[in-house]
Amino acid sequence: MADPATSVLVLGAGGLGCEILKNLALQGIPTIHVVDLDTIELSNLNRQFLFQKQDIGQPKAVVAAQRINSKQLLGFGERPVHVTAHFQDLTSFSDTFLEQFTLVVSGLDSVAARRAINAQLVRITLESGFQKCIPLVDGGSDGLQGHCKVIVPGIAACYECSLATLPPETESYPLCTVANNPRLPEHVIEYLLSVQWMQEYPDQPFDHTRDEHFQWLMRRSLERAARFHIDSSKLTASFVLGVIKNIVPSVASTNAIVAAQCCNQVSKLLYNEYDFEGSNNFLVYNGQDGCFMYGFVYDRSTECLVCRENT
Amino acid sequence: MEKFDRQLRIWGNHGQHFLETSNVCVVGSSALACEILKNLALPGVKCFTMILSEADEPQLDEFWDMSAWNVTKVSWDAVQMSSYSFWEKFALVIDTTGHNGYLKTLKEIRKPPVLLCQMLKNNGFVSFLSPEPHFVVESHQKHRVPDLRLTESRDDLSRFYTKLLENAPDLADYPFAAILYQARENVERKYPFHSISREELKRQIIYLQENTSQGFQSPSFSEALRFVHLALPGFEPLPENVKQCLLLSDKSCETPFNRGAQTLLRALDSFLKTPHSRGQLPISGVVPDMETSSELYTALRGAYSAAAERDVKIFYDLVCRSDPQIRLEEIRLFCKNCRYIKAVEPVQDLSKLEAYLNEGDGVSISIFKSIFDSCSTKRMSPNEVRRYYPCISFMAGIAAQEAIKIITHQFVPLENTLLYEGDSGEVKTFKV
Repeated sequence: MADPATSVLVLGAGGLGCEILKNLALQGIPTIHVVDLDTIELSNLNRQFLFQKQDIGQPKAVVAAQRINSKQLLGFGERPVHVTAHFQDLTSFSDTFLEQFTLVVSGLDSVAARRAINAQLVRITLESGFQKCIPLVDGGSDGLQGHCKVIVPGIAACYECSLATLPPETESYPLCTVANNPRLPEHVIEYLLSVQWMQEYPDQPFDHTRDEHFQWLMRRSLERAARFHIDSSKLTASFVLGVIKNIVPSVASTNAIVAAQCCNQVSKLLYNEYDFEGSNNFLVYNGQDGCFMYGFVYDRSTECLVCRENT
Repeated sequence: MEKFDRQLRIWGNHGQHFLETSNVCVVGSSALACEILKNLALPGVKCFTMILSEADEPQLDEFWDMSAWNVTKVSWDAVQMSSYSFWEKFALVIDTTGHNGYLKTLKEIRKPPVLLCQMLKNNGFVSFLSPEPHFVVESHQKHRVPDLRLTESRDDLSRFYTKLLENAPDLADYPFAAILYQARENVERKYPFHSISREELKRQIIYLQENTSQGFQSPSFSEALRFVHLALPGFEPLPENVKQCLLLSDKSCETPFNRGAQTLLRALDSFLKTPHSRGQLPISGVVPDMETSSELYTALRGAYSAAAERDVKIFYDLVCRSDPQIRLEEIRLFCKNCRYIKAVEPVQDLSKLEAYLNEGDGVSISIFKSIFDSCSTKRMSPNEVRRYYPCISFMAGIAAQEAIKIITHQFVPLENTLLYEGDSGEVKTFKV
């Protein structure tokens, strides 16, 4: 049996976060903390099963913790499973706060947040001379694809070591194309947001959540598309929002697969079955063409600015 | 923004419609079964039947509130369930138990597609069983090769390019497709009776580039050199996946989608024999973005969509001979995606899977056999559940993912059996 004193911090209470929290609770981890600074929206409900319609507008972390706590589950050593919520930005946690956890599991959608927590955990390990080593298990999902990385600070590859393998987060187009030779609806939107909005409204930033701003964008997009004879059939509100918010498609089953892989790694770490040298620290999933789940050992980068030890 | 927005971006309204109108049967009521139900109820499956087998005990009902999922629970009934009329209403049956009575029935009668999903400790398997091939029109291949037909131009596209390139224009601002067309024409004129090589075509592109006002500054020419293979002879033979689909177009099928796909495939066979097609697939009409002016790009896109619409019309007339009810939209979708259509061959019947396991050897097969032979309905102790819950959750995620692909006929499902080994975290696939 694993140690009843185990405590786990979960980063994100979204699609992956809900699955991770449920798994960890049923795995019997008595002390769980969850952090998320988002509130619940309607479009979360196709996968974030700890929330219901009446929770819209509430903080995700708080509602998720309540739902799990209401199940009154028993964990290791027959201790009650308890989830503590933190409705805040994860980058403001102190070292002392993080040091209370056995390990950290992340189900985030932002590269910046992952880099921040990775850097902090690696620094804690290096500064303590390896007295403190809190593994980070990182999950990510995108459509029918996903990944799970196990980061053992100072020992195996850290998040930063593999940064170069990530695709660019947003597509960017040359200014000459968007200004003079737009050919795609995306070029039209890019021009409106990076040039025309500033010309028409120099003193206020564009905010897509404000209806009048979004209506302006829709109207101007259709005008500009017509002017350049661009196929405007794609220019629906849903498409435009997808482009400006860089929306990542998401479905419950992919989140279940990725979160389960992360939690399987958590079990291996907690039951002392994890081989720090030989275990696959990176796992990738692709369900678009058959079922592809492949693991491999990703080596540390000797040039990594975060986990390289100064000699 | 609506509830299903994030997944509509994956499979569209038509995929969602399949999910919302399908009746799914889950055999078993363990944690694995509940997790599968959850993974299918969330994306919008609205109608479930859960079969409780005798040995089965609900384990985690206290965690999942099934009241919102519209689950009809029925007990195993050997008499009622040995008739096809009980099963025909289901789009898919997912068995999580390996229950003997069920497996026996599975061997004896014709059934809707079945996913067999079992787990033991930290390992699990999923097998896709069906007597008929599973066709996928929208396989959503991420890496699509631009369908520009530059190897042997169609008459309509040749006319378009000839007109576009008239009056010896400065090619620097032209889309790379037009540059490739011009380069190929020039080489063909120079050496009329021999097959064009990559080097010759590249030399010709560089020659054209040197004669433009911008010299080496033109991004269109870099693109033309990058995509030179698109204009080489022998580039566009009929893909293997299409050939395989054509071979399976006469196999007996019950699933409405598969029957519809077969009708379209038979029409495709006729289409390929028309003089118009010259043995080439209908053109997709999709043009990738290319460096050029808005006007030239619009003209190019217009020419390709007109060509695609011409093929759709011819195709429509061919299909109408056998199915006058067919909607033009379905034909457009098929023509647009036909280069990437797929047929998956599931495990034909359970005895084939058993034979495969009995004949095979190796570590993976023995793990597989131990799961298959175990009685998955045996209740796990609380400590076992805690230890192996991630495996339960993983297998349920995989089963639901494959279920969604099977129900929507989008993306390519498992062909046809997989084993998950929790220790390595990897999945191995087998074709039985």
